[in-house]
Amino acid sequence: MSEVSSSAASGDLRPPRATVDLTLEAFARPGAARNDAPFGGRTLGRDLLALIALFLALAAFQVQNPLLLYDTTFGSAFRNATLQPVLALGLALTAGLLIFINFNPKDRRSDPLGRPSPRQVIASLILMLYVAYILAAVLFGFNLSGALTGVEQAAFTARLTDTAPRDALQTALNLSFVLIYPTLMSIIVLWQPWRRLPIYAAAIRANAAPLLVALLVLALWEGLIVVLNIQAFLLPRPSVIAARLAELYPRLLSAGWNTFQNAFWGFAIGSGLGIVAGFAAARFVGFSRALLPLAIAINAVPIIALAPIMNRWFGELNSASKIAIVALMTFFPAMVSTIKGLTSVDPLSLELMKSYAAGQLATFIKLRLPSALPYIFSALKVATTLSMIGAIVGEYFGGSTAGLGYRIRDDAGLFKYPEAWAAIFVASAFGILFYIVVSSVERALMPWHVSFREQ
Amino acid sequence: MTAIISIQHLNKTYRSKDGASVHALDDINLDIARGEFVSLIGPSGCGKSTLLRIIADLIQPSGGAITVNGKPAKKARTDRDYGFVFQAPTLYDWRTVLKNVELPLEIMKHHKAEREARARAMLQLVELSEFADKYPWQLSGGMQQRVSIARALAFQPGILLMDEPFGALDEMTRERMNNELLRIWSSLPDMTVIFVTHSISEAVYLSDRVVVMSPRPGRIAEIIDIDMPRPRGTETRDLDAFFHYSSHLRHSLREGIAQHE
Repeated sequence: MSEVSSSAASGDLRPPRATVDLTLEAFARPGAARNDAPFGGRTLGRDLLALIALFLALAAFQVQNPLLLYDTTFGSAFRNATLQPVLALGLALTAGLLIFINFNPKDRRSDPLGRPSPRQVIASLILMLYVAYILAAVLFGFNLSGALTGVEQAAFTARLTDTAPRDALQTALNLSFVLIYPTLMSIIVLWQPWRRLPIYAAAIRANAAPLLVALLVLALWEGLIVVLNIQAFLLPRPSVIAARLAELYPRLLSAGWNTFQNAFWGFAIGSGLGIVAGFAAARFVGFSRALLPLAIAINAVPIIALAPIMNRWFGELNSASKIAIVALMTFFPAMVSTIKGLTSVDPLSLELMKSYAAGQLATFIKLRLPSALPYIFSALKVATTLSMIGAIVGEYFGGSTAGLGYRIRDDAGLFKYPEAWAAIFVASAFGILFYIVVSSVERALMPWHVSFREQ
Repeated sequence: MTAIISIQHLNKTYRSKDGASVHALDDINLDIARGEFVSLIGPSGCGKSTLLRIIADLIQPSGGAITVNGKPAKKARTDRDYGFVFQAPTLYDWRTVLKNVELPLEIMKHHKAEREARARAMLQLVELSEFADKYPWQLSGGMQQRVSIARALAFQPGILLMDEPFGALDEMTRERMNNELLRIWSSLPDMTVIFVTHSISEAVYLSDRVVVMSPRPGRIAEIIDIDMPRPRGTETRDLDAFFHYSSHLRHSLREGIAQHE
């Protein structure tokens, strides 16, 4: 009996398997689905992290000097007041993680000896300095390059007008370049992509088929439009969309962020209340029996159809109406899944609890809740994409001009189809990112779940 | 010998899903002494699992009297007088092996240090110490069932109720588990075991007494004393007495079924 079998006892109730696994690790570990580890359990998570850190370091650089913030398209995106701190904190988080995995004593892969090299130490110090510089500038309005060049701090947060001290700001900007280039180098040093070439090769080999299909679809799309001479306003070429995306993405990012905030709060309120209602309904059977048919009936209403009414109720131009739409869309799936999860507990496990004379509360915390988590998370994952849909469609019926939905409707109305497609691309990127974040939380909370088990 | 479990004129009828009344147990009378190893054997539908669940107060009898440790079955359950081992290991996937064994101690509000010490001692008893930090699904079926035995014994109950615990295992593993169980049982003085099985050789090998049940309605057909020396081991299975008891049991079971065909 010394053998360790990886198969679980069969025959008992299993929570639903995640059908689409879009977590960071699933992306990075393409062989996992087929139970072989093509690159020794190493993942592309580090590469993703390093690329995000590079992007955020560059993006945050735009934020720290009004010359960049107001004079470049790129910077204009980050005048969005809530996006700035998010970028800065995101940079701090990714930089911290990147440094951590380089110094994690458990991760001997960073260095065969398990000791960071002087190069890694210097790179980490530079990165920390940069993060501190950005955090101080964004969160506390203290700009170090300004302090060193003797520019008034107020000039950094004020709008760039004709009276702005442009020369002084330029000097401060030149000084800050001393920091950004070493920072980018540092991130690459901590990333060490040159050591990871075999992993990339293996990842490409393992994903050869889907990569080929994707390339083929893009090539066909591009080629057929040229060959068949399809009008650009019907369907633009992918290269045109990509060019427009590259040009507009700072503004689209800002618009996407505004829309995402509505989606997020709607998601949080709707799913949160749904889960709480599910708890109540599962606890009080009468409550559940009274409420469930109504819930299912309301859920059958295409909530989008209520968008104009919600706009009327909560105000057309503000966020509340969009949040209300998203909350309504995500409430019922969360509630129904929670009820299902809490009530479809393995009967033997319940008898076990009864044999211990366990109380209601202990049974709930130690059995029902963990059993329900997979159900709750599958509802939450569906809700992530639903919430982006709700937030965008809500804007079609009127709303802030700073949102993605408004941009898509407006651009399409003006026959600016490449722009509309670029906005759609950004919208789906936000949806996918949201999904990945929730999936990662799920994986962190329940690494034991059947769909995450490594063979 | 004092009776630790006493069952008198026990009846159980229940309504099946199609509304028919099913007579599951009919006039069961049984006394079980402290420290005894008793097996309940019978064909499926004879009510042996139902009887075990009534002893455990997991279901209610329709009539008759039952005392466990001299008290009503419900009191015995709330006093945590017995540990129950189900046919499936019923381990919680989200807990490590150690945390699974600690589960009853958590519910009974033992202190953390004591919980862990006891759980580790139990894992040592079932010889799974090195798997304490594994998750259940990383273990084989036999190992999972041993964890579930460790969990049932963690709070030191005087009675162990086992419902076909090795039914899902292959023959070789089952025989090893039988030896494990006897070793554990003999190391715990005065531990009473009631063991439901449908395996004749398992019942003979393990038990002091075998209760043979017949179906529709579930009745006790015969109670057989197994008079074979302990400690028992592989050589026990080669004894003439073993064959004698096995064939006696087989006949008794066949008669019980034949009456209803």
